[in-house]
Amino acid sequence: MNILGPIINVLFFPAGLFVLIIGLAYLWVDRKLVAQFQNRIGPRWFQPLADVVKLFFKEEVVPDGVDARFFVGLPILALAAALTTALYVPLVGLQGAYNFPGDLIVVVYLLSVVTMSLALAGSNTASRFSLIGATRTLTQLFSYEAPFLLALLGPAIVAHSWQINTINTYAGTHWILLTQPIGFVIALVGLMGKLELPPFDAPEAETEIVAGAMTDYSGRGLAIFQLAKAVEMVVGLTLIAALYLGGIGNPIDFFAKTLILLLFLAGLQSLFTRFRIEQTVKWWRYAALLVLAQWVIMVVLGQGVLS
Amino acid sequence: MKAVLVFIDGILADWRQRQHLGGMPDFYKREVVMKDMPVAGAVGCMQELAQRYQLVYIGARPESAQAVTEEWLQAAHFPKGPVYTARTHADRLVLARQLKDQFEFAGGIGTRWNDNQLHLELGCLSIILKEFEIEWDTVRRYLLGKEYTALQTALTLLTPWAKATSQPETNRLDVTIEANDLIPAVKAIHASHWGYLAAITGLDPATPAKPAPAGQTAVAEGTLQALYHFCAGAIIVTLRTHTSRADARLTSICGVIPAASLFERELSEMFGITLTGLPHPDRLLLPDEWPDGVYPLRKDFDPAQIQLKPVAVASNGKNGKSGKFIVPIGPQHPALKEPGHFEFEVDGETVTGASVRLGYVHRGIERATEERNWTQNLYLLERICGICSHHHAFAYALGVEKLAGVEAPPRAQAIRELAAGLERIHSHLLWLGVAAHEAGFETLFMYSWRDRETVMDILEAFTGNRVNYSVNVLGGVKLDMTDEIAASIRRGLDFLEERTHHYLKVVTTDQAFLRRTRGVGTLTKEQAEEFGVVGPMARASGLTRDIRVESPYGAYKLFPIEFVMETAGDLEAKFIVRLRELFESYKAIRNILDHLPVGDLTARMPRKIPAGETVSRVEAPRGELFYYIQSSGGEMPARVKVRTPSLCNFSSVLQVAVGHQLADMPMLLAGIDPCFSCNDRMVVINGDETWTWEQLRRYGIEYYKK
Amino acid sequence: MALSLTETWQNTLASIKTWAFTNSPWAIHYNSGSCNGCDIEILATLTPRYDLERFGVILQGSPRHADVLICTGPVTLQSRDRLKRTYEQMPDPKFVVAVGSCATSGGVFLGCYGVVGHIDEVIPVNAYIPGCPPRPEAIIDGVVKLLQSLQKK
Repeated sequence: MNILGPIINVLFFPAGLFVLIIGLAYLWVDRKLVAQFQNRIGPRWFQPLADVVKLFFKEEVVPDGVDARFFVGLPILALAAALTTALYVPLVGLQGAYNFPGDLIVVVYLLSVVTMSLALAGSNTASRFSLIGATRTLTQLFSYEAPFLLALLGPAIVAHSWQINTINTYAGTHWILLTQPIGFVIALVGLMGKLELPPFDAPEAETEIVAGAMTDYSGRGLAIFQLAKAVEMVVGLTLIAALYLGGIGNPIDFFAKTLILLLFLAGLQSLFTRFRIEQTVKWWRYAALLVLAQWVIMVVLGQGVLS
Repeated sequence: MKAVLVFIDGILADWRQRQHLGGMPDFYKREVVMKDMPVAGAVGCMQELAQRYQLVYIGARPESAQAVTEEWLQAAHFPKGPVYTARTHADRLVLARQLKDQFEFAGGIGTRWNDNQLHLELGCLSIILKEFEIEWDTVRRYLLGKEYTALQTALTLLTPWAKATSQPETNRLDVTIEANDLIPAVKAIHASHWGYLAAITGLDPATPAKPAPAGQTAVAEGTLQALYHFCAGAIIVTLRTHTSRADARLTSICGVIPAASLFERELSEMFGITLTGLPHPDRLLLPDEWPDGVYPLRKDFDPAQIQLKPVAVASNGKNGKSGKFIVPIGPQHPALKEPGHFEFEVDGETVTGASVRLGYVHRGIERATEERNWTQNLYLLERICGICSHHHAFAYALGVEKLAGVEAPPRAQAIRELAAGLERIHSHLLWLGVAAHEAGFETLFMYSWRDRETVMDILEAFTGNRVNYSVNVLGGVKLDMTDEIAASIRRGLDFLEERTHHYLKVVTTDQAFLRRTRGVGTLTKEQAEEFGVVGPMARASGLTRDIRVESPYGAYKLFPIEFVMETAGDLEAKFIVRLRELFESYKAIRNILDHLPVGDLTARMPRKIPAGETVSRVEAPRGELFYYIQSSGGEMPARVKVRTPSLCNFSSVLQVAVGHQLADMPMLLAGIDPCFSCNDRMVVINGDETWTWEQLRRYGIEYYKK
Repeated sequence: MALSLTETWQNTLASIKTWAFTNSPWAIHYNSGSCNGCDIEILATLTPRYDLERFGVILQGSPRHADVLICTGPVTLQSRDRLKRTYEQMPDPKFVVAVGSCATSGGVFLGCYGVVGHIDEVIPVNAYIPGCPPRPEAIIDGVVKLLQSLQKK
């Protein structure tokens, strides 16, 4: 039993197959919503699945002048990191499969590993577009990482815990959104930056650098990266819902809250023009200052009021 | 179109030959009147006036003489216009009050002090001249104003070098000069800021040398011509130079007008004219594999001569060029729906150099026009560009009609303008979407293209095809406007007008979007003038360049367009200009639908077009489209030269690019609304124009030293 | 028994593969000398009125991501090698659709000195969509027919 449990946890539920399916479904919801906002019908429900399956069947081209081990290994690393995070977050309203004090920090850094491996994959190719894409990915990572982390740590401070489950329970009785609105907005936008969604899609700006870091990937590599991103999206949404939107206690909570967040994300995606990379960086500098300001206020006032 | 009131007796007609009959009944007898001579210079001046004005003739003659007056005017080749007769001054005053309601008068020409009273009644300029000894230049100066002055100035400027001068059309001056005098002549025009260089046409008038006996090479005979067309408003001045065919050599004018470099490259590649002093004389026009010494527009060109030479495949990796990091865009690139190859040299995210290589769509259409008959060419030229297809056919048809001396009926002309308006709407909305797409604003792209479908539906209902709609035939149009279609056009325009207001609001108020457009890619008025920019690009930089306003052609005289201009010169201004132009198009189309002239759709065209040459210019959605058409009197043209607006605009964007962010490049390119298929029909431009900051600076300093 | 099992497996795998390919054709567009007419109609198929994403078609920027190469225009001398290179960069399995009269036959440009000919003189073509230019509906129909022909295989 002791062995079977973790295997199930890792391969099927909550990580593994389950989160992949949820990820693909959320990817479809996102695409469908954006299409609707753009006055289009949008893709069919199985579209992301068909895309991924097709990519797995495609020929995998490893370009010349590329380290094949990294080329193949990096997507797997990204997916592994993303799947690992799924073990620690309260998916579908259930407690994370594993938890320990400080798992919030681990999750945030595992999410960064996804981005890092994307950037490494970009710099591992001969294509100039990939290289610029990788540079932009890293630039963006460094600019949003700090505010994003700060924004997620806000709830942790008021809950007096670095453990996701504890914060989740605490959030069940306190809508942190109301006391830390700035943190919430920045966490949500930070997630968009992480996922490289418009308007923060400069790293894969189609009209400038084709597909950024992923330009040279075809077939499996591309599919795995897409899956990693899908999982990252689900995990990110869950985290924000758990931390800011009154916690996640049951499946209805989970779906309602994450889907509402996704609706917001899709709306933001279709409202804005792509930011130039230096505009993105500037934006995040202000965001970081804002979160810090919120922290100061929390620390000064919060000792009495919030705890 | 404004009108001019012209007094017949004493100004147009020299009636002194029947003076002895004064007061006698025979004075207005048909046989006698028909013997009147036109006053010297009258016919020419009236024809010039008719280009700009509706002529209204008035005669101090009895009503019974009306018919014979009309007959006489026609026989003497005066332009068409209504003829009124009123015997006494009092009658004429009454008539003037009636005429005032019918026409808007710009001026009146008379010979007596009390004609002045008549003109005052009309509220217009009054020109009173001495009977029978009319100084036509006075009329021209006051009524043709700018154009007349421009023509005279050009003539004075060029006189020192002119070997021969002719005025083949009222708005064209053809000056033949020696090849050695080219530079001083061009300098004179450039220094006095007379207009801009619109195009350079190469001509090969000579018949090819007979095939040489085996073992000997054929010696080419005769001369090649290079025509430098300068335009100022409606006036086109052509400098014509000759060079020997065997050793074709001219001096490059790039030292005087840097913007000429693209035109000159085309000339040199297509005709094998060596241009000494050309900044980048390397292969620029034709495919990389094209053999040396084969010039496709020379008359003795034979496709069999094309024996492609092998070319080293360009490496896909980093160019070894001093370790500079170069980002290629194109030929296959998502930012370009058409192929072109741009190379941006970047330092981090900042662009430090830009170059362009076109020609991926080079098909060789100019040559092909010489192998197809006049009618076939209409359909070929329409397919130079799918976005502005009507304008290509429009310009070509206007030119050929001018050569044949045929004028399309008023209804046809109005329908042509209407189709041009619809095409402009579809093209500008398309551009709005593409530009938004380049900026990463997918939602605006989707919305503008959704709304564009409205005008596509109209075009389809009207012409039967969504793109390449073939409205024109030589001598008119082939489609009539029905009430049903007119109603659907009105409905569509109402919807589009509302949406255009919305888009104008979006591009001027959306903060995220403005961050990508305001102050980006600014082209100052001086730069725009220097690079010879045309169309919306020029109008966004505060230049008054719009052929429809400056030199109204076809129905634009009847249904005029207001000038749209912005002065900022940045991307935002380009958005605003194009969107505001849409309102002008809506207005003009409604105006045409309300007052569509009745009558025939086509005039009869001869199968063979009389020998001659003409220039035809229209304002396509992207700017001035320039056609030079030459006929040798046969069933096929001797030469059709097309200069498209994008060619004028390319060089400007390459200069502006330097110093901008890489992310701005697609938008900057989109800003000119580049049309590669237009350009490449004949031209391949290879720019090894990788300008560094230093070069640009040096160029700037040197330029302003002059 | 073992043989039939693997056969069933193979059949299932093949049908999954066909399903995925017919439902997720990612396209890339190359203009090898077209007049733009076809190109704007291809772009129009992505926009709200026609919305090709309904069928899973996405226009990709990188040839490495694409399954279907949509070509327009006659092939010019200068773009011949680029067309070939784009085609070669695409991972297998890949398909080519020639859109417009020029792409299928050379159209009005046949005989021009800069034109090599139609698309299938340079790369193999799986579907031809005639028209000058074909309507967006025709382009969608062409793509769908190509997908159907895959299913039959």
